[in-house]
Amino acid sequence: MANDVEFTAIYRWLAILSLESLVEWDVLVFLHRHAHILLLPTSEIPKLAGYDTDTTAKALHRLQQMGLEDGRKCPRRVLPFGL
Amino acid sequence: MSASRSSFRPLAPAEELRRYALLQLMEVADSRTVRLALLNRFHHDVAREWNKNGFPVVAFGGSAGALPVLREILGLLPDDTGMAFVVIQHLSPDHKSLLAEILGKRTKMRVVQIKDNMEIEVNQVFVIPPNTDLTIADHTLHLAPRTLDERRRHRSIDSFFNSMAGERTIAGISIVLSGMDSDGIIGTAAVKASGGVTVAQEPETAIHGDLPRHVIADGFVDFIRGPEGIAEILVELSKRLRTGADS
Repeated sequence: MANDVEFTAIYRWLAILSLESLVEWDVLVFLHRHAHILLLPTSEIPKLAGYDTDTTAKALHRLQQMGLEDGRKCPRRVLPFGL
Repeated sequence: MSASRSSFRPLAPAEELRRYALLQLMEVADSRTVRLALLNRFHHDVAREWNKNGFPVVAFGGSAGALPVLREILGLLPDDTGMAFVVIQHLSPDHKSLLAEILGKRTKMRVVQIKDNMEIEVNQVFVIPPNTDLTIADHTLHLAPRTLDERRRHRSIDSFFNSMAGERTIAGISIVLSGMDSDGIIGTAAVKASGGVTVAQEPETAIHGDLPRHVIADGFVDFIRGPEGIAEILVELSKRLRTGADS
């Protein structure tokens, strides 16, 4: 089990990024891990991330609002913030 | 360039901090802890727990120029807010502190210099002794010999804010007052992350505005006010926490 220090740090990092839900986290991790090979239209991401389309679309939209994902740079390729 | 402008250099711009936070989280991406934290919906859970326990702790952190502000704020507060107050002030390690006596003259609340393992209580003011770092656990205040960071800077404000943020049974309210240097930046982010309320003195009203200015630049401050405004916020929060309102 994680100790209090680890919990405190993780709470802090999550708040800094304004992440609020598991789906946002999962989509962000998916994008991060596949940043170098992902050449997919955004509509394909739900199948791979394991959530339904609407849920994933909302998460992606929020990640974009937060600047953690930038779909504008390349419409067919999503790039996680700063990586 | 004026002296006041040249003295302000943000230490951790928000964008850099976000990048760092993302990298830190990705390091532990496979840990169950992240998922648990998100499942807990931590802001809401902590807020509920605070209301249930009804124990807000207000922590003032300050350095040079903070004393007159503290006196003014405490003088404006009623003595029955239902909050406990902790003062973390950078003090000379070589002299006896008169801080508790000075503050005691401006408030009807009991003002005490902290002793190790002292239990924190509402409607009282607890003042850090010289040459110590302070933490809180299970409503008990713990003292340790003061430590300096690798650049020989005080970190006593960060130390207390961090420990307060880790306490699930108190409502943490951090207030950064006048001072120099950067103590309090990390702790303010921790308090905010734990669902707490963060306040900084309006730099223009501070004798030394660097400390609040650095904290504000990091982007985790809920309220920026002068001394009178800070007292008003505390009175309002006191009312809301007592009635269980969460906004």
